[in-house]
Amino acid sequence: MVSTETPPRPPPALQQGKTQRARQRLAIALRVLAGLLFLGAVVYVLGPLVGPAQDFFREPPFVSNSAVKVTVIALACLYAAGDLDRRGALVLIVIAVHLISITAMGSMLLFAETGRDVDLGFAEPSLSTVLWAAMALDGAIALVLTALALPARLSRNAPVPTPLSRTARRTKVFLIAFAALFAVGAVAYEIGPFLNTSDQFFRELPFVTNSVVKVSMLAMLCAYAASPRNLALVTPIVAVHVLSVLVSALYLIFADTDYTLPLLGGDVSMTDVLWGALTLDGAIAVIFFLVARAAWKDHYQPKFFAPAQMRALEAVADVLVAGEDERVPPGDVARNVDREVAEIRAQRRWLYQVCLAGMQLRPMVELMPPLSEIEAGARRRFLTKRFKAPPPWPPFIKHLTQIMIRICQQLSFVGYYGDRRSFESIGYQPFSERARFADLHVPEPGPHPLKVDRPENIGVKELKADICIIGSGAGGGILAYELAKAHPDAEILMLERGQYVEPRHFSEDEVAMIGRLYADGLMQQTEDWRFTVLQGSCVGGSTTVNNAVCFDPPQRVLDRWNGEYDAGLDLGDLSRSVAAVRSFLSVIPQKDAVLNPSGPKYLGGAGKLPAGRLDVGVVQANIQGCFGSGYCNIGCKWGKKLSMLETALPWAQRDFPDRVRIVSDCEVERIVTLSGHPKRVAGLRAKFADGRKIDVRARRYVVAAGSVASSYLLLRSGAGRGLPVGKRFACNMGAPLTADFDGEPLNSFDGLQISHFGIPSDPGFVFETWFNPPVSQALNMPGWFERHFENMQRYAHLMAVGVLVGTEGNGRIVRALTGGPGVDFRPKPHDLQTLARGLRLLGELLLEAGAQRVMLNAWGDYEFTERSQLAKIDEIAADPDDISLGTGHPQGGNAISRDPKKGVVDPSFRVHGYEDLYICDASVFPGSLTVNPQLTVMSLAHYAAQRIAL
Amino acid sequence: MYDVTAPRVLVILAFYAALLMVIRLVKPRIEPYERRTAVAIGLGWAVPVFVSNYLLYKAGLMSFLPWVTNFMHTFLWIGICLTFLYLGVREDQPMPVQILLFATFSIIVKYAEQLAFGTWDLDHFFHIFDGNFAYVLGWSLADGTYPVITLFALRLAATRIPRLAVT
Repeated sequence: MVSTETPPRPPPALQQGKTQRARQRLAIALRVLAGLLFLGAVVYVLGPLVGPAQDFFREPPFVSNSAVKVTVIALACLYAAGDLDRRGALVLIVIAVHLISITAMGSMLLFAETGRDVDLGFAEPSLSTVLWAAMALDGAIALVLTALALPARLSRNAPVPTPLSRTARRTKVFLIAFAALFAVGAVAYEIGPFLNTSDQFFRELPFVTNSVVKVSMLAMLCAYAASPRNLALVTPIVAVHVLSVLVSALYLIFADTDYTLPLLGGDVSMTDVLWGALTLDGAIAVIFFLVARAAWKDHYQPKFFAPAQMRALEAVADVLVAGEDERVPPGDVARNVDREVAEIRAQRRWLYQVCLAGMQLRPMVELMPPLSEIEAGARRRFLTKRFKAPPPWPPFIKHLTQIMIRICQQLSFVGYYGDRRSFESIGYQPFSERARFADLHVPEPGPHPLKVDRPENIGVKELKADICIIGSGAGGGILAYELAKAHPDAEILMLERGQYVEPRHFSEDEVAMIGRLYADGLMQQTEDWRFTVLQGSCVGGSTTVNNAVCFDPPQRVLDRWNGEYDAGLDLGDLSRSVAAVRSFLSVIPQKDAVLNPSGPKYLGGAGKLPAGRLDVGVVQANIQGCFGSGYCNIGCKWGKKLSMLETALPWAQRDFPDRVRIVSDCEVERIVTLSGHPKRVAGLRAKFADGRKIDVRARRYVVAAGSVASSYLLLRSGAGRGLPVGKRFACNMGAPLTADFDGEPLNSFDGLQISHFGIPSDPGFVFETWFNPPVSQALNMPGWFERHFENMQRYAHLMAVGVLVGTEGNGRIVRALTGGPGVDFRPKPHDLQTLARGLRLLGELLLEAGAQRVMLNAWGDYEFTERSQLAKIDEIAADPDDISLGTGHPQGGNAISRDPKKGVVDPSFRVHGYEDLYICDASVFPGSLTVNPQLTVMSLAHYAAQRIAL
Repeated sequence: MYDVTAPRVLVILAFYAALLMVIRLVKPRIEPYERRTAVAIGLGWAVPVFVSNYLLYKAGLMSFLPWVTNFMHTFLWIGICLTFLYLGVREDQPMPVQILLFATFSIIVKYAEQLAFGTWDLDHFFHIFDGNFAYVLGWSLADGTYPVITLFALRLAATRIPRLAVT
């Protein structure tokens, strides 16, 4: 029996599934069509230049129009395929434009002369045959697209009525006006072949109809893009006009255009027509570009990034920060990042721009629209497939894609977790909003005693002093004090590349402070971008932003320096210098400080390890009366950390009045060397942050700019040529484990950032508890997409401990191709094995402490809930592409050694072969320390000051 | 054959002076510590080039430069002006920019001298490329190597001669 009843409607979920599949089919068809159309564009472009059908392609302006036509339709197909929900109307436009094409050709067949034959090279069909064939093709395309579009249930999303800004209104009017102009153009092309005065010019009818279709398509696109939410569609309009300019130029150069055709009663030269088309399309491209740019700028108000980069940033932030309770919209994330990046002083900020531009365009290689035009789900799949798990070959491309996604991820986290709106959701409270803040009666700091000359205070073109110290950090600060003490009449001049930020101006804005206080605003990476090299760049140097943790230089390290590297250090003197610095800076155990709340967990876990495996304790540091704000790494506003900014520098100015001058925002670019035996320094060439140059003359020059900057200065100056400058770079390589604890929140952010250490019986690494405000923690948090978001939601329940491994000195400082210093370092397998050993032991400790899971910061997603799983760490750590590494302790580059083949400076810290050039900072370390290096750097500075004679 | 008259010489000297004014925008003066280096560079280029110009003419690879113009070109233009230019750009500009600058200044000066005296009139460059344009352009591009040669020559000289400012 046949039922006459209407079949029941499928349930909504099933219906939705069918629609989804129909949409997938439509998207694939659109991409295939786009690919074919791009191929068609190539055929059109090459037609007049090569192949057997050059006679058919003899009117270049129309051929150029044809190339533009297929390209603009192809782009519309791509944009539609990328997001059918948002861009479904484009499918209708593509279908409509094919119907227009059929109509235009039909009218030609009906009313124009189509009896003649055309030479296609391989055949000579009649013009009418060609037109019929083209109509059939366009009809087929329109039919197929319609058949696929109907079940896909494309709906026109009604625009949300929002008040338009003045710029948006102007843009809308402009686009509608151009839509009308293009429509008029379509009519003009259509009637051209029917007028006696122009029929000879419009004689190649298939190309004329292509021109009709091109301007019709542009008219519809303009009308579509007039809606503010469709503004992105201006990009294809600009792109095809640029294409038109290029194709016209190509024809002018290579095609035969040296003939005339009758038009409107006169003769026009084809060359002139092409020049006219080129100029017109060029002008249209420029005008559309400027209008769209103004509209996007109005939308984003960017300070640094271009609008397309902002769109890319918004698109990646939308999927990389993924969770159910997102507090900061992706557009605001992009705006936050733009504002912060605009503020940082970094030579390589342009890399961010290149990266975002690359991300935006990368999908087009695979016949997809720009990244920001892909629907969120597909965008995420694309990022996962092409970036998170890129194809392994070729390795260069794989590595490049990893760098790009890493940069995008970092920028997204900076923009999201740097925004106060995210704080509540992760359980973070800035220090000033914590309950205990009121009880502490924290005083508001007053003016800082340090006198620093900023560029605006310096009008001369030359600075003079007896001793010039480059850098004001751990080495430079102590040197300034000790040299002023040792040479009672000497004038000391300190040049600091970074800014002078008065402690009272330190803020709780983590990202802003990172931008102001760190070298390259955290962009200092190794050459392969796998390894972050943190370094302070401000008055006070890294001591302003480090954790002030002090360890004596390990005896076994000093013995190795004097033995293997022939450093020639007087260890007795050095020991006295260590004691003097300890006393000078009041280095004390931090037992009375507000320790990190995770400390008891750490100590508890260590206590459950077999006896003797680990010596743990509270760190010693030059910190007094710590409030436990957790802001060591973004500057202590209250002067509790006794950094150079708070101690050696102001004390030197206090104890030796008018003899210690500090100039900030002044980067020494070159040491000018005079030849001879020994060589002498003629002077320094420096540049202020405002771009002015200045010369510096002194009797002695001491470079104390840190491992990377000191080596780079020598390299770019050609100083120390023949010496191993930049070689033997090493570091304390670090990788953290993050542990998640159930129960009450730990609030690890509410206390000293590094409060406990652990030294194993088996040397090679140390542990340090470590926790950060949200942005830095997010940058070190394992996981991708929702996983990362969920991990960050557990922020208040987490603690982190870092494993530090003193690496081999197999790195080197180079002049980077991208400008500025480059750190060429890749850890050796031996160091990675040591790291793995440390991480495994630390994993045991944290699980013993009661952690529900322990996470490793790596490219892959790794978490461990049982001790037996920790063995996998060996495998992960062995792959530097997988594990995330970094260092805040760069060392080496200008090793100290009696032997000029092994070292750059001699035991008196003088550069070999020079009379008046010295280096004293972590760059003179012949090998890495493993422990925090600041006390060693300061002690070496104290030691060196006794050896620098005037 | 060549029209080397006092007024024309004065015009070219004025032209050199004008170019030197432009060059001095980059580096207004030679610092005291650089004077020895400047003299070394200036003489190091002027004397050999003065001689080479004549020898290359005899070998048929360069057109003849009358002694006055040869002296002016080598001692005044190369010896003074280009030394100023080199010391001005060697620290701040990347090598490709330096090469471009020297080649550009060179072609400007050669055409100016050709206009004034009729010199630089050979019609081939080492018999490899034909035409006067090839000749002038070829030697101008060769002059673009000035900063590269000077850099390494100065480093070499610095191993023997004290108080040279090397980079």
